[in-house]
Parts: sequence; structure tokens; C-alpha cells
Amino acid sequence: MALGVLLQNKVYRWSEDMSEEAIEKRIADDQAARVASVALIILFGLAFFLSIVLLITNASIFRVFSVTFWVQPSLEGVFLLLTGLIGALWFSHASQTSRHVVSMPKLSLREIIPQILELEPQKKEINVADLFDVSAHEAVENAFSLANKFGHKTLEPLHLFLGSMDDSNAGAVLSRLGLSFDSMKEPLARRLEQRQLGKPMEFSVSSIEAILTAFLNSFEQQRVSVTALEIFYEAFKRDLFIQELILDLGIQPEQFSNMIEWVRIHERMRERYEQFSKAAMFKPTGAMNRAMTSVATPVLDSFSEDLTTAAVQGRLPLLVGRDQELEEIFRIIEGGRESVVLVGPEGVGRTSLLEGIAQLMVEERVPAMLQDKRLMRLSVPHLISGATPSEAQERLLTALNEVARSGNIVLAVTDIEQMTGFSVGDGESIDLAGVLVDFLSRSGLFAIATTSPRAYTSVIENSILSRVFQKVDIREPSEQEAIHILESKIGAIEFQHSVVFTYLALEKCVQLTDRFMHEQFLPKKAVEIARETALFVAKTKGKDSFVTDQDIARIVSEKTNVPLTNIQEEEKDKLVHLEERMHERMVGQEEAVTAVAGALRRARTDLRAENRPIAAFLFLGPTGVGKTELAKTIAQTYFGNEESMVRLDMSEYQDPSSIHRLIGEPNSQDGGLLTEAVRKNPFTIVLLDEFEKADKNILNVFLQVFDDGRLTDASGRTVDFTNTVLIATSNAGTQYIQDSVVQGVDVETMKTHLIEQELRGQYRPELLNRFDGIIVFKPLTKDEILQIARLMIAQVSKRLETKGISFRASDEMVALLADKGYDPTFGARPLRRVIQEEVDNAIANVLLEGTVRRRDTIVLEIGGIRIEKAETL
Amino acid sequence: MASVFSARVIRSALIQIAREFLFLPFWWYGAGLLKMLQWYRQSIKSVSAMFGLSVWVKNLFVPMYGDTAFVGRLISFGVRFFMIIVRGFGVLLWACLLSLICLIYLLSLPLLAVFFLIQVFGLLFG
Repeated sequence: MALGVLLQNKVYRWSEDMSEEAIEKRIADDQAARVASVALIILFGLAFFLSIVLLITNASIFRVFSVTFWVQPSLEGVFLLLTGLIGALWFSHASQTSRHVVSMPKLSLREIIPQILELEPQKKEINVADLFDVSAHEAVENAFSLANKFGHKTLEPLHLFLGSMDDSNAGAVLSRLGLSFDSMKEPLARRLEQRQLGKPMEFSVSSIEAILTAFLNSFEQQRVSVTALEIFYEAFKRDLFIQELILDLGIQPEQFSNMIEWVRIHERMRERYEQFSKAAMFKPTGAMNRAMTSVATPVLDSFSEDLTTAAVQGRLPLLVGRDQELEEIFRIIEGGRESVVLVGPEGVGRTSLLEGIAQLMVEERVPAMLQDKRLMRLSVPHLISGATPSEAQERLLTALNEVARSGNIVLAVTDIEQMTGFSVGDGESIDLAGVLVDFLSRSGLFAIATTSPRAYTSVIENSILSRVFQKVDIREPSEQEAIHILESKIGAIEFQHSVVFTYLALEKCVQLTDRFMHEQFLPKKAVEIARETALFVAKTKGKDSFVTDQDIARIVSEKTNVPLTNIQEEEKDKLVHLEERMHERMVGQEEAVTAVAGALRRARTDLRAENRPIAAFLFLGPTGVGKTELAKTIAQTYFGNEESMVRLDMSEYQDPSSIHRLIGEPNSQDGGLLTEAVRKNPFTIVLLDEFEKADKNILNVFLQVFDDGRLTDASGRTVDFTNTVLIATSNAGTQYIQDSVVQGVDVETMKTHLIEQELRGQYRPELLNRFDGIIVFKPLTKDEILQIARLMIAQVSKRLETKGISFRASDEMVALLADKGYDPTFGARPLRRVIQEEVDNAIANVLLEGTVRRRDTIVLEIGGIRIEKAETL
Repeated sequence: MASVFSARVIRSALIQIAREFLFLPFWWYGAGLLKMLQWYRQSIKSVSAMFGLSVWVKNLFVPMYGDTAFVGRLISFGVRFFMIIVRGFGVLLWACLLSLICLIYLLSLPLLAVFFLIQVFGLLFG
């Protein structure tokens, strides 16, 4: 009993003789075959050359056509016949050495891939080694020599992995994953030294499994032979140490699998292209079908594009995946000659699917109804341009008549909603859809159309078009599928810009666009980012450079304003010292500053939940204690500038209908104030001032935002809030806070009381629950007011700096200002007023009087302003 | 070491050639012939696909260019009939050519061998 695979009633087993002599013999035999081949070619050429020379010198060149030449002995005759015999021998030699001993079994539809089992020996067994290509043979032989060299008892997947590393495809996998052999060398060497020694060497069970699975993979993919890449992959899957090692180098096993898939896709595309070119030779281009039954269609031709001809000429990209959708489309067409409308958002690949159908039609791998037909894409803009509605209708009718008479045309209409409700000038309006529907239902022909989900619900579902068109949903591909689609497109992008994509770049491209660019859809957005980054890298780093995940992150960052690149030193410093930086303009309120800084650090290191906003805070406290100021401080220190914030005064949203101002009017394409602002700038602070004053229904809307990080606007667009910091401020419970501070109640007790008592009437408990932090801003102490006064004086000084004038205030004066501006009820607000009246006004006066000039210093002291004159130049 | 290996390779190459020479007649009319027949079948298939004969036969009574009038049908039938003959002739010609190649294959080895022996013996003993 030994491991094997029972496939189509035949037993496939690994039964290659792996003794040193056998391997050496195989290598020698291969070389001998090559030597023999070269020798025969040389002999053939020599004999042919000699016979020609003799024929010419003996002037008997025309005698070869007479029988006597062949029967009468002559030297030239001998050489000529010898040429023929050597040629025959060479033909036999070449056929025997190039021929695969066994060919890959054919995979039938819905065939189940068998398991590897312990099987009884059978009379006729097939050695899977006979299906190996040169690279696979070399991989196993290398593994064998390695194990032999170390004197190991068993040949394990580790040896197979190392043995197949020399293969060019395996090398491509490693280099695109950013792995080098050098970085793995030492741990691998240590691992090899720890293996058990002994003789005779045997293949371990998992090695045999790796080899047999490599064969099954190749069978499943219907490859011509088993390659080293498959052995490499299967060995990887079976060795936990290698997986751990690669994980240490930052590569996840599924990333490794996706990279293998990339190489497989590439190989498959090459094989498919070869098959496609062969099939395309027999597909007629132009208006006429093979049976010559069609009619010339001049009008239709001028308003449409022949997709099958484009496919024959190789102008359309190959379609990857989408088998499910294709099957559904064909089923509908076959089922009842019904027309199909492919419904999917822009960028998910509706047009690619249409082009994929054109390619299948070229290969004739389509239901009989689509065979020997042309797929014509009708361009609605062409049809209606420069025409009055009635003219356009006439054009369409003529074109459709041509389709009907021709009989070999399948009509494709992209963005079919363009056909409805088209009008020119005032009044004259007409629906082309009616003409199309009438034609399709009368003629018994069918069409394939595309549209977006929004157009489908708003236009098509309620129009006459829904009568003849069956809906097929084209969903956005999953992350994995999008990676595979991108893998199929990346070759062309790499070629165009002469750059090389690493796997991580490709993965990042899909992940980041999926997470941060909600306005567009996969795979298109990922392909576009890949293209843009390729161009950027080619220009900045030069030709043949690697496109890394950081390059992708940079481009996505530029597009979305969300910081995504790895945290650099400068930013690291900024993040670590965030509290200090915030305190440069915020006085006091330690708890609030610490909570906010923590949330921002979590967000930047990706430790937060991805489907919620970065953070949602409720700032409670009396007026003038720094709630809005803290929001502005965050905007400035972290989001770039003070203005990078969406500020909504919720007291303006007191009646239920004001919700439309926030999320847009129903049935209108204009978004609301909140949704549009966040849609355009997803990485921002949303400041909701005086939150409690908004209508209850509006507060409910925010429940969803706090919880799911998204909000759907009136036109149906989902706006992403996962990169926003939401800050709601509220004056609720102010009196209680002020009283408690006077009584010396600690913050925690204050907070509990606020949540349980004071806020109860204002907010529903589930809303309060959704805040990441409810932060109580205490009234400012006298000392804090003094610090704020200093900050404000510094601001005055900064303003004067632009005029070239210096400014300073004496400590006594600052203390006096703070004293005047201190009011426990209104926080720092009165201080601002005092500074305006006492400082700004006085400075304005001296400026107007003209007593102060550039380089002078204004000194503010008790008793008034003094000017220190600068020396004249 | 290397010279031992090359000597082994050369010896092995010579053995291969000798063996293939000895077994040439068997291979020629066995595996070789099978290969040739496969090629013949494949070629005939591509030739008939190239001429599209079956499509023309299937559509013998279908009017060309969508002209369904009686005269149109008549002309169409005539043209299609003629085209079938022309295309059929084309396929036949190709088939003859391919068969000729097969025939040459079948006869070439014994003829080459016989004439070669005649010539060599003639030169040596004639």
C-alpha cells in the first residue's frame, strides 16, 4: 500500500527511481539525446551538401528526375539517398525524445478532484513524474541532492521547497513578495542541520503528498505538464517552519497563495491567448457571417462598434472570472431568447463582461444562438447627436431594421438609460426606449444592455424597458477576486511604464481603494490607482523600479487626504508628543486632551475598529471653557489646519425637516451639508456644536453614524464616516458642573450624575452609549485664565509681527487682564473681550496716530502703552 | 570527472542513435505512422474549417443577403451550389495533397533503403 491518486480509473503514483545512479542516468540520457540530435542534423547537412556539390560538378542535377539516376550506382546518388535516410532517422529521434510519455488527463465538466489515498498496487500505474516538465524534474532532483548531501533520513517538503527555489517562477514569487534568499538563508540552514540523519533516504509522506497534489493542481488547471511552481507551493503549504519563517518576514500565507495565483493567472493568460489566436483565425470580421446570409448594415455600422471584430483583432482585454454571471446571462438567452440588462455600478466590469462575451463568440464557446454572430455595441450618444428626437427615432428604426434583416447581429446597448426621456429645445421630447422594446418584442431578437443600479431603479424599472429586459446583477468583486483581476491587468501596466509591482503593492491597491474610496468601485478604482502609481514611480524612481505598497499608499493618501503611508520619524514624534503640542494652545482640560490624543494615536496605528469613526466624543461643560477650542486644536495639530473641520451648529436643526439640510433633499442629486462635506473630505473632524439643541429625529440619524461609520444621503449614496473624528459639544448640565466644582465633587462622580440625571432628558441612553468618551470640561480656574491671557497676548504679538512691530506686556498687566476677564460662569469668553478692549484698541490707536513705526516695540504696562523706539537706520 | 561524464554522454548518444536506427522500420510503421495519421486528421479538420464547407451545405436553401424573393432564392441557390462545388474542390485538393504526403511517408523508407543498398552494392561490386 502506498499513496496514490485514483483518477479516471487509473492510478497515478510517484514511482520515480530517485537513486543517485538513476538521476545521473536521466541527466546523461537527456544530454545524450541532445547530442544525438545535433549529430544527426550535422550529418544530414553534410550529406546533403556533398550530394549537391557532386550533382553540380558532375552536371547531373537534372538526372535526378530520371529512374536511371536512382538505379545506376553513383556517388551523388548514394549521398542523396543517405540524406533521406538520415532525415528519416532524425525525424524518428526528434519525435521520440520530444514526445510526452503520458499526457495530462482531460478534466470534464463538474469533475470532482480526487483525494490522495493509500492504494493497492495495480498492474498498470502511471508515474506522475512522466507528466513533469524539466523545471519540476530539476526541483525534485535538487531536493534529492540536498537531502543526500546532508545525509538526511527523509526527504521533506523543506527540501522540495529549497529544491524548487531555482525555478524562475518561484524566484518571481519571492522577489515580488519582497523576499530574498539571503534573508531566509540562515534560519533555513539551521533547520536543515536539525534534520534527522540516516540511510537509506526516503521520501516523507508529506513530500509524496506535495508531489501528488502538485499533479492534481496542474490537472485541475488543465496545464500541459506539472511545473516546479506547483511543487514549490505545495511544499510551502506543508511545512509549518517555512510558513512561520515567511510570516516573520511579514508575509501572510494567504498573501503567498495570492502571489502563486498571480503567476498561474499569467501563465493561463499566455496559454489562453495562444488558443484564442488560433480560434480567431476562423472568425469572419466585417458584416458578413460564414453562411453569407447576413445583409450589409451601413446605418447600424455608423452608429455602433463591432465588438467581435475588435476581439478578433485582439483589441479587447481578456476577461478574468465572472463565470457565474456569464452562466446566468447565457441561461436567460438560451431559456427564452430574452434580452438581458447587466446592472452594476460604474467600474465593476459591466463593459468588460460584454467584451468577454464578444471574445467567447469569437472562440464560438457560446450557446448555439450566439454562434456565427456579431456583437454590435450601439452608441446612443452617436445616435442622438445632432438630431431632433424624431430624426433620432428614425435612425434607430433604420438601424434596428438592419439588425432584423441581417439576422447575424446581437445588439449590445451600454448605459441603456440614455434611451429614455430624451428631449431637444423646448417641448419636443421622445422616448427611444419604446422603439427598442417594440422592435425586440416583435422581431423575437434579443439584446444585451448595461446600466447602473441607480438608473435601473429610477428609470428602467418603471419604464417600458423592464418588460423585455431581464436583470442580471453584476456585483462588485470581493477583495480576493479584485486582486486576481488586478493581477491579470498588471502585466500591461508594468510593460507600459517599465516598472515592477510587488505583491504587497498590488494587495494594498485593492485594500486601500476598497477602504477609502467609496465613490468608485472595484476593480476599476484599483486598476486606476495601480496605473497612476506606476507612472509616478517611473517618473520619480526611474525605469525598472519596484512599485511598493508605500508608493500605492502615497497616491491613495494624496487622493483621499487620509494619512496612510508608514509613520515616518517626524510624524512618530508628533504622535508621541501629541498632548504637549495640543497644550501649546489648550490650557487645562487634561482629561479631554489625553482622551483625544489616545484616539488619534489608535487611529494612526490602525488599532481601531475599521467600521466605526476614528472616535466620537461628547464634550460637556459650561461655555467658554475650551470645547470648541480643543476641536480646533485637533484640526490644527493633526489634520493640518484649523479649518480642516466640518462645523455644524446644531441649534439650526431644531425642527424635523431640517434633516434635509444635513443629508440632502429627497429626489435631488445635491447632497446635504454634512454628507457632501464628508464625502469630499473623508479625513476630517465633524464638530457638532450644541448637540442637545437638535431635533430628536436628527439625533437618531447620528446613532448610525456613531455605530456603523456611515450615512446614506437623500440620493442614495453611502457616505463613509470611518475616517472622521466626531465631536459633539453640549452645555447640558452646566449649572450642575459649576455647582459641583464649587463643592469640590470629583470628576467621576460628576460624570455619573450627569449621565444618569442631567443628560437623561436631553439624550437617549443608546446615543450616550455610542460615544467613545463623555468628557466633562471643568470651569477654568483663575490660574488657567492667567495662562490663557498669556496665550492671547502672544497671539497679539504674532499679529503685530507681520507689521514689523514687536510687542510685549508686563507680568503685572497680564495678571490684571486675567483678573478682569475672569468670570466663573462664562469661562474665557470675557477675557477675549477684555483683551480686545484694553489691548487691541490701545494698539489700534497708536497705529492710527502714526507714533509707532517698523522695528519699534510696543510695551503694555499698568497705566497704558509705552513705545520703545528702535534706532534709526 | 567532467571528461568521464562527457564520454558517458557521447557513448550514450551513440547507443541511442544505433538503437533508433535498428528499430527505425518498427517505429516508422508503428508510433511514427500513428503520429502521421493524427497530423493528417488534424490537418483535414483545419482545412474544412478554413473552407467552411459544412456551413455552406447547411445553408444551401437559405437565401443569401436576406433576399427572400423567388429570384433571390433561385440565384442564391445557384451561387451556393456553385460555391459548394468550388469549396468542395478546394477541400478535395488539399485532402489529395495531404494524402500524397502520407503516401510518400509510407513508401519513402523502404524505397530509400532499397535504392541506397542498390547504389552502395553497385559502387562496391559493380
